[in-house]
Amino acid sequence: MEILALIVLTMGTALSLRWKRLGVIAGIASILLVLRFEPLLLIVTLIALMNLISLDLIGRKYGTVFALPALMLIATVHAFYTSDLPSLIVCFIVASVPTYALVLISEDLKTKTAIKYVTFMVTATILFVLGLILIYENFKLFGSFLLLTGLALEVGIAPLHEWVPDVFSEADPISASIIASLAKFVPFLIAFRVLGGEMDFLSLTFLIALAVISMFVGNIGGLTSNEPSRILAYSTIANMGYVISALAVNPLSLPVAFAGAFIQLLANSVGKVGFFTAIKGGANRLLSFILSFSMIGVPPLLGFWGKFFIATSLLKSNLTFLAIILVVNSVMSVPYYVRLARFFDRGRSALASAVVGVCVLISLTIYPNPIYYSCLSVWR
Amino acid sequence: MIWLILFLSPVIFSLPTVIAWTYRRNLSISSVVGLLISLAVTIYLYRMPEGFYTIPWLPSLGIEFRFVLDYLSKNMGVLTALIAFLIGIYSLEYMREDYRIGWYWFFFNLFTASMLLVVYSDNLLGLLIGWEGLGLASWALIGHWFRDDDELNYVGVLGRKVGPLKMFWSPSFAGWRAISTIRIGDMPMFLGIALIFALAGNLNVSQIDWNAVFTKIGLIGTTFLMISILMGPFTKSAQLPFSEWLMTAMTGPTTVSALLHSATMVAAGAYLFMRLSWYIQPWNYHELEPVYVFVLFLGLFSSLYGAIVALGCRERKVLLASSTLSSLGIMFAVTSLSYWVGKIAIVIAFIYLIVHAFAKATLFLVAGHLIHATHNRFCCGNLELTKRMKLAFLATVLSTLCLSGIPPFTAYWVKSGMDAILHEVSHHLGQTPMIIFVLIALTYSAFLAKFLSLNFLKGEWAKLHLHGERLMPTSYTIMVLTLLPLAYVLYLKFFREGLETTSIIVGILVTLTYVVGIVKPTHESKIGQALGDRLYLMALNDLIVPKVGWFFALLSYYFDRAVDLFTHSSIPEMFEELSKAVRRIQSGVLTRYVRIVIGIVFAIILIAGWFEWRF
Repeated sequence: MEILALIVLTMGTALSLRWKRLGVIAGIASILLVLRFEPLLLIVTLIALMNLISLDLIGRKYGTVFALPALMLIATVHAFYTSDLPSLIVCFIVASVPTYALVLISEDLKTKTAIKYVTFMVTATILFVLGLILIYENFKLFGSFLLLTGLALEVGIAPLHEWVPDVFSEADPISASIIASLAKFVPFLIAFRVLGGEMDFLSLTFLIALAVISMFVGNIGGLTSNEPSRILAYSTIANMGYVISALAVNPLSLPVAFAGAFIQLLANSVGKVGFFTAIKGGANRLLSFILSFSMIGVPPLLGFWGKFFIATSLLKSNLTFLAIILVVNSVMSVPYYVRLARFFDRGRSALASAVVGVCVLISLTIYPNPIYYSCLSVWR
Repeated sequence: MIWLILFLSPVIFSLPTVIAWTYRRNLSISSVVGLLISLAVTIYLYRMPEGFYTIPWLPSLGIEFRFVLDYLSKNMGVLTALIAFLIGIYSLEYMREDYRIGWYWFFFNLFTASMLLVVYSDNLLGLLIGWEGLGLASWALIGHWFRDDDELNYVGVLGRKVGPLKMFWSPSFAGWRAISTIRIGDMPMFLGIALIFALAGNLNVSQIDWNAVFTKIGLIGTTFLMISILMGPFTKSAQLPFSEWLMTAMTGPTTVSALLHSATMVAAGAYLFMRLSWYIQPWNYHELEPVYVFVLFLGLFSSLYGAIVALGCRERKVLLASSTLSSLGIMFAVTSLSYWVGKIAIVIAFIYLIVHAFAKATLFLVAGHLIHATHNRFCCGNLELTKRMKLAFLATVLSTLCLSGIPPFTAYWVKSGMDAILHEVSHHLGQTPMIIFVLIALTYSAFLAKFLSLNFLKGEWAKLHLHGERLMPTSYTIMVLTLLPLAYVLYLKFFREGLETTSIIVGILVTLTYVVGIVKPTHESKIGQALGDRLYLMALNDLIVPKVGWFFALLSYYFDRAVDLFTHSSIPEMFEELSKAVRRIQSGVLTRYVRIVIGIVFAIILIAGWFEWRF
């Protein structure tokens, strides 16, 4: 199926140089081709679709860009169902490289931003892949250190987060939304697969330090940021902290932690897509507040469930202090999320409103069981 | 059922007044009808056999509404209902022009109903309901004229100051002072009752195994328990040093003062002490001696204080208020004598309560009428006034004669009884109580005579504003006339004690001071001024206790400031600084970022490599 989807995508993209609409259709078609009836992947697919559609807001002449999110989705879905090392590495690279191009596109070319981004991404990819190979070659400790460093650079975990605020605020909001949402799944998936429950004490300490620093840096940095896109950048850093803290649990509660991490990633993704689209195309005040509450983790919204499962698994692994830090951080994040929600007033375009609406709908998931069980089944 | 009618009829019948008084002001009559029904029920109960009547309430804890019919409650019930009814009739005229009649009648009737509940309850928890009802209603009624806009409703001379003390009190302030003082006593009382429940598992006064309770906690425990329970009666009956609220309670309508000072509220304290003593039977327990000696002297000193203060007072109602304090002291003291002489002491104290109630209610009603007529709360009025208000004059003469203990009027016989038992107690306690008692009796009669003289005979001339009142004179005339048959009853009961030498000597002395009081009612002196200022006891309420309160207020203020500083300044500023520090990294210069990242990455690689190599 993935092969077929790739073929369709290639054909469509080639033809889209002539007929712009064909690129969109090919992208959607290939996304639908890799559709799996697994709630987790369904939502990931939905996010990819939203990314793809919202790209229309940038208003480029050619339709080739629509292929990029579709390509990332295919890699992401493939990563969920493969376990051999080369495939994983390929998926990782395929899910990450399209974003290099995405940073560039805009009404005007953002070369400087792209250089900033690409520099770090390349370093991250090298470290990550090197770490993967080293772990397979049985240099566990060194490998996991390198892997974690790569992961931190790739997704933007403090103290290696320097590129995130700059890129998020300088690049086009839609590109940033794709970087903040669809690009995050594969690195974490691989990290969970490879490191989950198998870390020694030192790398565990390193991991926890990364998580704690990232949460605090993200939330504290967000408190006084003024631009919405910078707030979103710091929010991403904090969210990556939450997600990576789930890696620290013991093997027994790892499935719950995995579910929590991915629900948190989903919540983060829909929030980011919604807010970045709102920056581009405006949004209703009420909808932006619902998104904010989901990001804060107000009970029954999606963002709450992610933090809830992560905190539960942390408590079960005797990492009470980490759970407390997590909760304290979600409280600290309240001011800037509320401030963020106030930036928006009303929607300015139908497309943006539709995307924000879908994000809000996903955030309103008050019955997380299907996603939860789907995460567990994917984990097995 | 009968109990429900008794307690609820005053309250329910006052509701029409509460709801619709603005449209039909004569609806007040319905409230008086409610009081009349209660009176009828109490008379019916008076004829019922003695015993206990229970209504289940909290069966799981063994707590029930348990009502008692015995000598004390039967008489007290009729007394309360009768006096409330007569004062109700008086109020119809007195309160006709008032600006919130609904409020007045509701709380007046609630007051009566609460008192009846206190009177008939055997269960301490049921009694507490009435007790708190009294507190609430007294607050509402003392502060009835909450607008503080009429000089007539104040206590003290407006604008007068002694040192840091403000010597005048407004109705709203007095209401607050009453409830706050009473609550101070109620807290230990709650604890004491809880302790009794914990020890005895039962709250019915007549059923508690007092012997077991007292032996279980020993002498110190018993003293502690009894004093904490008696704190309620002490504050309610305004014993020293809680007397101030009673004096400033005179800011309420005169009818309220009359009810408050005769049969309800302050009498409730003395009544509760009598009821407890009646069933505890203190003459059987040695553990109770310190408590009863304490109460005896507290009562005597309160009484003496009240009497000499009354001697110095110039305001009609405040004079009567401190005389009430004096009488209450006597009631407490005499009741406490039951430890040595047995039940007879309680009976005498109770009879004194009845006599005092009628006489004092009469005096208050007369005072109210006088204030209405002269528009002045200070003693004033001469023979001209007497001519135009004959009934008031006669009622005052009769009630002062009956109350001061001049032979052969009512109180003489009661006081002879007191003389007799004090004489008996002198074997245990020496002559001190007797001497204090005689002093009190002499002063008492002197200030009553002063009240009579200054208001009707030798006072200053006062302009009269009479409006042809009918109901007011009628009700106090009826009330004072009840004292005469009472005198006969008491003569039959105490004639032997009344003919003893000590009693006769005391009687003659009392008559002498009465005459002196009439002939020379005023004498200017510094001491008199100090007495009139109640020996500056209000410093306790207005200076010392507020200091304690201010201390706590200050404490909480600083705590508040600290919390404010912590949560509104320190933490936000800290996070703001931190946040700025975090964001300072974002200079936008790629080379700087690369340097940072490469540095961190190399550090990590070095550390990891070192560990990989060593282990």
